[in-house]
Amino acid sequence: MMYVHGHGSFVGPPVAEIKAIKAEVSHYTQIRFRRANRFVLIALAGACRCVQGHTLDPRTAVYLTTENGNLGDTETVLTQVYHRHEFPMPYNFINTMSNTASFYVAQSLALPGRNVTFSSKQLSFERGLELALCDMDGGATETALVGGADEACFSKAQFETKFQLPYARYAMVEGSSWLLLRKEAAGALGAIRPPATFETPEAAATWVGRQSLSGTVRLAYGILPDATDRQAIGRALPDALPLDYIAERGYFDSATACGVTHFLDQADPGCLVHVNKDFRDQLVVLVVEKYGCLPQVFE
Amino acid sequence: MNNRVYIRGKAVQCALGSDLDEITTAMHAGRTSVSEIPLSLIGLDYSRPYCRLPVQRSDTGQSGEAYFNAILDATIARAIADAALDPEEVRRLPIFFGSTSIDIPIYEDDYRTRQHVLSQTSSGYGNIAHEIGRRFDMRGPCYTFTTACTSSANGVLFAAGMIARGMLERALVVGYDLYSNLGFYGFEALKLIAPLPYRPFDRRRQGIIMGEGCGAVILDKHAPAPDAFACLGGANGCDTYSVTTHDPEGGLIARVMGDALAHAGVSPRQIDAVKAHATGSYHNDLTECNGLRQVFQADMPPVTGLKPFVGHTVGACGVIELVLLTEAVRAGFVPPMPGFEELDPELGVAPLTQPLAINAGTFLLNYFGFGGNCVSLVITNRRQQVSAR
Repeated sequence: MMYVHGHGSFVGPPVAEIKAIKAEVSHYTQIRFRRANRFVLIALAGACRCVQGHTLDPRTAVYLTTENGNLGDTETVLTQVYHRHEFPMPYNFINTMSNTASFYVAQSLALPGRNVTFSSKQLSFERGLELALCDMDGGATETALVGGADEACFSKAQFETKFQLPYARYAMVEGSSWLLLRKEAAGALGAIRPPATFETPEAAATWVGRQSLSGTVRLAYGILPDATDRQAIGRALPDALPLDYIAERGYFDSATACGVTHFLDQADPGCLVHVNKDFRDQLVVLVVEKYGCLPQVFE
Repeated sequence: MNNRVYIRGKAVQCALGSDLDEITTAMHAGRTSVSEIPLSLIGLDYSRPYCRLPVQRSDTGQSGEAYFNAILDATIARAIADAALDPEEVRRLPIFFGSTSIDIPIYEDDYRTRQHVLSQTSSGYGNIAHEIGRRFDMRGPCYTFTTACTSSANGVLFAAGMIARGMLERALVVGYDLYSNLGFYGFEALKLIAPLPYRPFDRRRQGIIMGEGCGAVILDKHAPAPDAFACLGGANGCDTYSVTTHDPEGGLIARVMGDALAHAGVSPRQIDAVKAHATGSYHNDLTECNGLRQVFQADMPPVTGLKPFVGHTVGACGVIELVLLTEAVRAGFVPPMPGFEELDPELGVAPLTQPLAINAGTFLLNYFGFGGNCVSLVITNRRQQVSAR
């Protein structure tokens, strides 16, 4: 179990100029990010919002999850080399390595502890939580910042090819959403249970049906679970209220992280059951608890 | 509690080939394999050295994607065979994948005639591991690390951590970086690529020589043999000094090495040799040696670096150098660092110039990268807790 002590999100429709994102980041840090690109800035904006008002242990670990990373700079460098026939600009090249974003998060928040940029097709945030859980369980860290960050990168054709879903149904957004997690329960806003992985919706539903879920239960899905998955899970949680965060906030490839912070920000105390799936039909169920007004202490 | 996580199977493809016996023979003899790549794509009339795989795509007639997958799949298949995994063990394998270039080598040549290929074609960082799962019918979870030159070292660190915590039984860890023009021209743009000879830690070092390769290991909770190598522990940290260079004082690097030793339950005096990251760049070598001297003080163990044999394979070097070191020790030696001749007083660390005879020991492996990322691993093939040197 990891306890949620903070959350923050910077998610919205993509803006043409990144000045607005720089302005947002400048509210939280004195460091000037002259060379930072869009991906770095959206990662920073969400992380800074998440930790605002918190005093961080310098050994806080940073786990930045992303589906696509720095696509923009990679395109720029390849264009420089192949079409302009010139050397890449150094900072464009350096920014092709997506861990520049997790570096700038660490630098701006003065966090020299564990630092990972990580991906797992359609399940990046859930698998990132597993890494954090492993590190907390093993004593490598007691506090973790776990975030999902992605640019809005889909054209209509790309989206429909990838997901076999109608593009018009979704508002495309970009940004990052972060959780501040601690091993310590005292003062927590909520908790995250270890993600659970299943090969079939029936197995996932059986597991979900056995969970102890207190308060109002909300049920949310990632973009890939289909009608069969939803029916199976829905039967296990007949009284759960739907939470369609993708409809409310829009879609980007780090939507799961956004869904969790949306639940923590907007929903009544209770539980969120989030069901996601990858293209190999692996289902991952995440249970998030949101406590009431008074912090609960279980230990 | 026994936190040992064993290397049950391994395979590699690198500039020295894919036959582990031939590779260890070459390392013992100090042989390297370097070719020259012209910078003709941007109209320059000079070339830079690079450690290329013995068989190139042009030799095979394959498409970029077919060539990419053939090397990857052959390496994984050999690691699985080496580990003697049964079909059910393969089916349940989790995949840890580390790379800097990810799928760029597949697509980048299409930029000769098109634009925006990557954003229109790439399926995200996690896709390579995902597709490994499909092709090998592995149903375990996928974890892809993109932390520049520490990518697959982080794969080893986290896979070992999850196995040690009982979250996983075993795991496939892959480090893979093929040649890409993006990387080659990018490193040259940073003026980091050296002319021959490649000589990390030498006073006259001039930079990095890059390489390509693929390494795969199967990590397991259970020892496959009494003398099998095991990962005892490791650590990761972020040097926030600069996105491109670490603090030259080496403080954070020393802390990560110290954390790795503490996590492994090993004192500095129990380390038989260090596999340094040793890229050959002025700053990296200075920082690493400053860190090494803080950790080991006056009792520096033998130090070597493996990049002169196969080049700096960037994100893949975590697994590739792990395989090279363990195979060399299995063959009875720690390789010397080819190219090193002259001690740099500023570094104060003289690496091995001759093979060090040893067939059992405890070793510290260092990996550092852009974005301040630092990883150290501690491995051993001693059966019992190690004794001091």
